[in-house]
Amino acid sequence: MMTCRDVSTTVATGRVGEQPLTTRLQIGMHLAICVHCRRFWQQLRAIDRGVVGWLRSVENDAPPDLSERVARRLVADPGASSKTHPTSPGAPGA
Amino acid sequence: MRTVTASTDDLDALRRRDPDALAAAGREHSRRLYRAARGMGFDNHEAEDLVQDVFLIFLTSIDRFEGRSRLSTWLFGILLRKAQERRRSRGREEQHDTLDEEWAAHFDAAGRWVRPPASPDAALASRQMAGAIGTCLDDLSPQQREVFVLRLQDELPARDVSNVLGLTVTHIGVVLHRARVLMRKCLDMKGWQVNAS
Repeated sequence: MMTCRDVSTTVATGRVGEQPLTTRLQIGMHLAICVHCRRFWQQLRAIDRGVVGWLRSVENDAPPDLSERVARRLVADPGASSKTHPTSPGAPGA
Repeated sequence: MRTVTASTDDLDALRRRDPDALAAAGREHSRRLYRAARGMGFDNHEAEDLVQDVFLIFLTSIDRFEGRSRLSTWLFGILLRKAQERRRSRGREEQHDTLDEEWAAHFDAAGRWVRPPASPDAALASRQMAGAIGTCLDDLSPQQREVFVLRLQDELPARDVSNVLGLTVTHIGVVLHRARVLMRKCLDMKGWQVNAS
């Protein structure tokens, strides 16, 4: 039997979808009957939406021609010869 | 506008430094990278510099990109490493917090809420709360911001975020949990009532 703490912790980790079917069903049932955990979950979703909205709003600070300038630079200097980067990053899931 | 994916044709074109493919990649991903950089706590000018840096690195490392991940994931990985380099040069470090203890204190011995959460209202959507979100993001550690922003950015799956950050999926979940709980606490202090009175 999952407690409020178990359910809320799992929800906040964003890993509900990775849980076994029985755990997902328990979480779904718990959220259906427990108004407190449902509200917590709704709060997290509201925070996520708020952060996404904030990210969209700061994107407006970007110079309008940023994408075009990057594109032009890539085409003009495809070998990136003007600048060297001795510490290239690792390959993230190459 | 042409869309760059990690298809073999697109990869070949990028590796050949095909001007159309390079320009398309730049157009498609620049603003998304800029947004992520801002989300990670960099100001307007730093974010723009980071975007330029990402594409310079991209050009020197494209031959190592095998197309097993999305191009955007690869670029986010580069962005993250450049962001971490900049932070190191600023001397910003991860800080220990007492969040685990605080989270535990929300529940009694039987795992029930001690102070039930309040129903979220529309205040968060208001302009005032939008400003508070930016301030509260500043209170997160760099790693918490990275995980939070990358997970929310285009709803990047935990597996991709794990690849980009070099952390296990379990660790990503722990960090995301802490970031969300800290945001909730911070917003509560700024007037968004999270607990029922």
